[in-house]
Amino acid sequence: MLLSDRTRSSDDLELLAERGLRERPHRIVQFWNRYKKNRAAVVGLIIVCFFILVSVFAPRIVSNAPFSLVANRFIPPSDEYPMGTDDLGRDVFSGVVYGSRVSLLVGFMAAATSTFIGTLIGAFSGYHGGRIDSMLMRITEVFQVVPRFFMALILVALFGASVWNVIFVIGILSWPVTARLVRAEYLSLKEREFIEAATALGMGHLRIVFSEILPNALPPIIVNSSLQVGSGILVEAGLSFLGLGDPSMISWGYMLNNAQRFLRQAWWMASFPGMAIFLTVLGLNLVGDGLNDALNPKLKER
Amino acid sequence: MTSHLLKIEELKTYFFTSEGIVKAVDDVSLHIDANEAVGLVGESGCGKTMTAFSIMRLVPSPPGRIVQGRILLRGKDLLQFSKDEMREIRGREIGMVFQDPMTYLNPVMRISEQMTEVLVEHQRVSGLQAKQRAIEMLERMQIPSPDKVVNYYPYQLSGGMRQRVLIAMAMSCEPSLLIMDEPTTALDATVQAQILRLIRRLRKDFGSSILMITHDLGIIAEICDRVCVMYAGKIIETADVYGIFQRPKHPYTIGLLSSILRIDKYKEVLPTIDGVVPDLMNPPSGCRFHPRCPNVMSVCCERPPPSFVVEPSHCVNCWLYESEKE
Repeated sequence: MLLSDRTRSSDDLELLAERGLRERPHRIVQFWNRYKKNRAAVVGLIIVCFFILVSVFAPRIVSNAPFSLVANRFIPPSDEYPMGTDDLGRDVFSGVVYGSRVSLLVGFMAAATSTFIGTLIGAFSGYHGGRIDSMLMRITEVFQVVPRFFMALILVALFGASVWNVIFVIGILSWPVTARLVRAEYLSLKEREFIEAATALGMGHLRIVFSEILPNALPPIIVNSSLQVGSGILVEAGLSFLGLGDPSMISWGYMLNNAQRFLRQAWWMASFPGMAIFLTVLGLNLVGDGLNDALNPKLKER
Repeated sequence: MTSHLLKIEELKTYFFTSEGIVKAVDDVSLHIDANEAVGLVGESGCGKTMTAFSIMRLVPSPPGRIVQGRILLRGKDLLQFSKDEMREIRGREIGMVFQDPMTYLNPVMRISEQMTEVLVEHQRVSGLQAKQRAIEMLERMQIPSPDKVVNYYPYQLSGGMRQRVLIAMAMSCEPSLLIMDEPTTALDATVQAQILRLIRRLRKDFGSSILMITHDLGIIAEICDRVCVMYAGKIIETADVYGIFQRPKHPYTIGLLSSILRIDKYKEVLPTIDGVVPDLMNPPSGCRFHPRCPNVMSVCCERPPPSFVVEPSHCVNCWLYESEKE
């Protein structure tokens, strides 16, 4: 049953090299190839990139500061003011452009906060299991059953409406979903053979949790956090619409709040910021879908 | 007391399931000397792997638990070690190679990352040194162009290459004992031969002891000095390789050896051992092999046979050899 011993020649090594080492394009290239198959996701990515560029280069795009009174009130969209002016004679266009800063900042930072907390708690809970797991999951459930927006209202009202408070509040309220997701991933990944192998090689728990399991759990975490950016932007817009946004920074929600009294007189005051919110969140959701397809290629094979 | 590298004494590892207690390892004693290769053979489910997992203290718990016994590594009982002390032993003193190279490598980490992690964990070397060492180890595993292979992901490697990488990882801290749990079962025959050749060479180079767990007597013949035959959670026969192959004593061993296909002897019908592996939840009384044994006697059903020494370094647990007892 065993082949007779024979010394391996260099030809054999060559052959082994050819058979064994299949060269493939770089992972990023593979990833992009899968991502771009989803047309809508590419459109979403373009939208998101567009808004990111707008927020970064806001001062170069518009000359008027968003809060400064530049013209008469209620000028409809025209060549000079492409999105018209509002009830105080402020340029709506520059408001929309600068508003992207707050929305994206809040969206991304809140998603980062919640992903960080959720991953930490989910990883610990799923990996450790047992009593600590059930304790952490009960805490998670407490956060899940509280109506999110209502809680955000109360917390912002209590602690004041600075951008960082809003970010913190949204982050604190949206980690449970991530935690549950990460926990589920860890529950199944910790039973995999390579974790057994890592344990048999004498690796510590921390190393196993963060450097062995975490990279395997990343795809769903990334998809989830991309979707949370969108929902963070919506919550922020909602808070600002109710007058609980950061008063020192212009945001799309604030503009909507301002516009509601003049809906019949000046449609442009509400439409343009509303459109901006719609497009950004749509773009982010499309990107999330695309990431899901590209990161979990097996799920796509319908 | 001779100083064995590893000595297992009356080890019992049980699984406490809702249906009852499964005695996966029941009263197993064996020893491994320095630079010795010991084979542990038996059919599936006879407790070979659990014996290995007990040594590493990796028995899935719950439901598994080591209920009795001592596992002495250089005279120190591993079962008394704390979890942290045990972690120091794993990888550094005892390395383990698993059956299926496809699933035992982390799919999202480069080979270099996986290999250097072990070294950084145990030897506190810098990342660059560790990578150098990883390349060196791969070279010793006869992997072609190791400087390229370290940067690959597991999916880019063939089965044989992955098994080499796993062996390289297990050997990277030069453990004094290497446990190999069916290291070639998942590989095809040509690759198997290559891996076995590699293991023999490594034994010479590193001077590690090997505990080779397998159901393949051919591998035993290739690698091992001494063999323990396991049946239903117990070791039933221990001898050196020549003793087992030329003068098997236990009816089970005899049956096992006669059921091997041989290229040099034509057999009309391949002999088999009648019956099935006993249920470890309710093992047969007395000798656990008695329901399948061709030479069964009345005493076999009543009392489990102790170990009889039939030749120097050849012990067998079977009543047939009672008269030869010292």
